[in-house]
Order: sequence, then structure tokens, then C-alpha cells
Amino acid sequence: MEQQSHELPHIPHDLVVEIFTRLPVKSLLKFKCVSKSWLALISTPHFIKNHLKKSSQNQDFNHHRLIAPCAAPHYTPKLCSLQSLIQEPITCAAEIDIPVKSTPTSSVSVVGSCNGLVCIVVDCIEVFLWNPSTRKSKKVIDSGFVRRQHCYTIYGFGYNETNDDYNVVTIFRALNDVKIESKIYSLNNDNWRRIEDFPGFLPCYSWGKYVNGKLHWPGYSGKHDRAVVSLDLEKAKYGELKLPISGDVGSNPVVGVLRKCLCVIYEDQRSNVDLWVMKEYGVKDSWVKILSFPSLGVRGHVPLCVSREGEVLLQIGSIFKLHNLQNDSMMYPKIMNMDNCSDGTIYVEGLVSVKANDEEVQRQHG
Amino acid sequence: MASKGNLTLKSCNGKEFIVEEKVAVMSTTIKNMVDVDDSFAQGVIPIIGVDGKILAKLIEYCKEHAEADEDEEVKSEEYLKKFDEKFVDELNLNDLYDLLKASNYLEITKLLNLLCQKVASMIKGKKPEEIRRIFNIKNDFTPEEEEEINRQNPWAF
Repeated sequence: MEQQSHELPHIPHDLVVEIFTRLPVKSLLKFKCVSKSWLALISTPHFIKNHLKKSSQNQDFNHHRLIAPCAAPHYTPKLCSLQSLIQEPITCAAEIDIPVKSTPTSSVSVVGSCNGLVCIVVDCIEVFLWNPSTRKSKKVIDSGFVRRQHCYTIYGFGYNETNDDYNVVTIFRALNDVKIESKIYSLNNDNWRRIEDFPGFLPCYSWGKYVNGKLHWPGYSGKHDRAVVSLDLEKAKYGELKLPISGDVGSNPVVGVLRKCLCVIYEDQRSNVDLWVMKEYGVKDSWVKILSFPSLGVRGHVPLCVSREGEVLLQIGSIFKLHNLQNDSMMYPKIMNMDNCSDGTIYVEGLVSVKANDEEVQRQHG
Repeated sequence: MASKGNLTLKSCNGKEFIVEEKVAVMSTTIKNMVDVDDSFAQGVIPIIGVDGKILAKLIEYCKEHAEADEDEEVKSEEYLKKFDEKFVDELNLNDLYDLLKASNYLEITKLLNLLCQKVASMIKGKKPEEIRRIFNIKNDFTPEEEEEINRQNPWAF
């Protein structure tokens, strides 16, 4: 009989790294205390990047989570496994401690996510950068816009690859003011700076969607034409992208991101919902209609992701729908404990830190 | 000597295996050897540091995957997934370790991915002290240092 060993002999360092990039964040945090060399490995920016990359590329979404604010009774985020949502008929959502103690009347919105970091806004005023996987967060300093009643604030959250910096953008209009001002926050510098005014008219109430180094909002080109307004985070310059159909398209388009491509979804006048994907960023002719279905009569369509099997996951109000592009079949997976949720965001679990300039920011208890 | 289209692989303990070239070149290391030096294609390719038992396992894996790459109809993605699952489940810890090292050396990417994933799922729920035992690692922290690290993420334990 062969002797069964319960120990592994010394594993070469490069193999340890390979194995570690496949571990969930929770295990890695736990294994930091195994030895000094393991702590050092798990803490290096290079490893954190590789781990994030591997987790993001996982097509079964093992390390992806859906986070959505739920009215229970006020809006507070809950989360669930994306893999389960796609593969199982019923998924259970869990509550999560947010970085701030919210009062029963406060409302928490999820602005967006990038590299495992999530940006949330409490009562449309307090902004937090938050890593739900490591439970570390940072409260973003006030933007300095003076809020009065009936002012209008929308946000966006993205990543500037050139500077390895995370940015929050706030777009602000005071009552009766024509100007729509905007500011950009840099995590590296921990400051807000004024940038050019938001072009054209107010965008539809929507958080900026991040893809290709830019944030995107549904807005206008000129006086009447709808367009997607973009903001290049590195240059802090606004631009616009043409929609697939010009003229009156029906409902307000919703901008989203599917498989790293910009997409728009809207209901036309015949109550048909169309989902378009811009296959090649910035090229108007590359818009492709990938989905068209009769409206459920519920407002708000959020494109969430495309599964390995080619199913598009959409959130329609509080309903989740998996639409198979190949055979046009549909499924409606349920999420327990996530009633009356609003627009969900998908994030990937990672070790990226919200600390800027090496200053450790611990979770604040309100 | 292997006939045309076949290669002879020799383990470190002298066992020879004749395999189809398309199976052998699933290993990037072997592919590079054959591409660079024609004499390898005709003669015997020594597989350093890999014994006959492990080499047989590697060939079993590569054979299934090379055939699937050639004809998707015969061996579907579903079939391969089941094959992979069974393949790793039947390994004991020693063989898993030897295969891991061998697939790393021979650059059999698909197998390396599979084995790393297997080890990751094996260890992800374990306690730090169990991990130290499995990986044969000495705890070089003082109790105070260890406590300080654990204090940062108490919920992870």
C-alpha cells in the first residue's frame, strides 16, 4: 500500500501565486497570518492586480456579486452571488454592513463599481468608496457644491488607468440655474477639482457607467437629439456618442455595459424593448441590436451581464430576467430577501484598497 | 523509434511512452523542443524529473483534450468537464503535487489551471494552522504579530 501523505512538500513560489490568484478574498485575508512570506505575497499590488484579473475573467462568475439597494423599508444595499443568480432558479440575498450607520429614513444608492471597489451615496450627499469584500471604506470629502432644495446631483465612479487613480464625478445643477457644473474627485490626491460644465441639457437621472476609461450618461446632442454623453477621466473632457437610432426613440435610453461594451436599452413607441451593443467603442456603425422583446410594462431596464452560455441578464424593476440570445428562451430567476430592489450593480471581489497615499482608512462606525 | 506523427517520451525512471505528436505538443515545453530541434522528433524526448506514473497521468489528460480539440462533436465541453472533475478527484495529495510541478515544468496550461483550481478549492475553507500543516510552513510571526493581523479582519475567520 502506498503511504498517503497529508502534507505537501515545498511548493515553488510561482505555483503558490498561481493557486492564490484563484482563492476568494475571504480565504486570502485569513491566510495573511500563515507566515510572513504569505502576508507579503498577498499584500503586494502586483498580486492584488493579478488576483483581480483572474477573478474578473472567471466566466462562471464565481467571484462576482450583485449589489442592489432594497426598500426594506428604506433603501439599503443587499447582495447575492451572480453565479447562483445565473445558474439557480432561486438565490438568497444577504444583508451587508455599509460603511455608515444609516438612519431609518436615509437612502443608500449604489453609483457603480470598478476593480472590486463600490461607490455608494447616502441621501445623495455623502459619498463613500467601499470594498465590500475586505469591508474597508473611505468617506470622500465634501465636493463643496452648496445644496439647496430642488438642486440636482448625479454621480459617476470610474478608474483612470494612466494614473492608477479612482475618480468620482459629480454633476450638479442648482434650482433655476442654467449651468450644469461638474467636479471630479481623485482618490490619489484626495481632492475635488472643477472641470468643464456638463454639455447640453440635464441628463436623465442615471449614474455614470464606466467603460473604456470614460463615464457615460444618457444625454443630448444639440437641442433635441438624444445621445450618450461621455467623460474621459484622464483628460477630464466631455464628448458624445451617437445612438443607434436618431430622432425620437421612445423612452429615455438606459446606458449600460455588457462584456466591456457600451450598450443602450430603450422602449420604443410600440412598447418593444430593444437592447443595442456598441461592438467597437466610438464607432456608430458598430451598434448591433442583440435583443428585442415586448415590454413587461415595468419601468427601468438594467442590462447586468452576459453569461458564458450567451444569456443576457437584465433587471427590470425588481424582476430579473435571463434571456438566451441563441434560442430566445427566457428564465426569471428569483432572489429571496431582495424585494423592491432598485438598479443593481455587479462587482467582482478583490483586494484593492481604498486608502490613498498609504493612509489606512478603517471602517467608520457612525 | 516512433513512427511518423508519433513522439517517444521517456520518464526519469526510464519508462518510454509512444504518443501522437498532437497529444505531446499540448505541452508547450515539448512543442518548443520539437520545433527547435528536429532530432527530438525522431529520437527520444527525455522528460526530466517526471516519473513513469506521473507521465502516464499527464498523457492520459493530454490525450482526452487533444482529441476534444480536434473533434468537438465526439468530446463535448460537457464531456471534458466531467472528465476533468473525475481526473482531479481521483488524485491523492502526492500525485496532485507531482502533477502540479510536472504540468508547470511542461507548460500544459489547461491542466495547470485545473490543478491550481483544485488546490484552491481544497484549501479555501481551511484554518491558517491547517494550511501551515498541509504546506509544511513554519509560523514565523510572534503571537502579538499574528493577533494584530487577525484583528484587521476578524470576520474572515
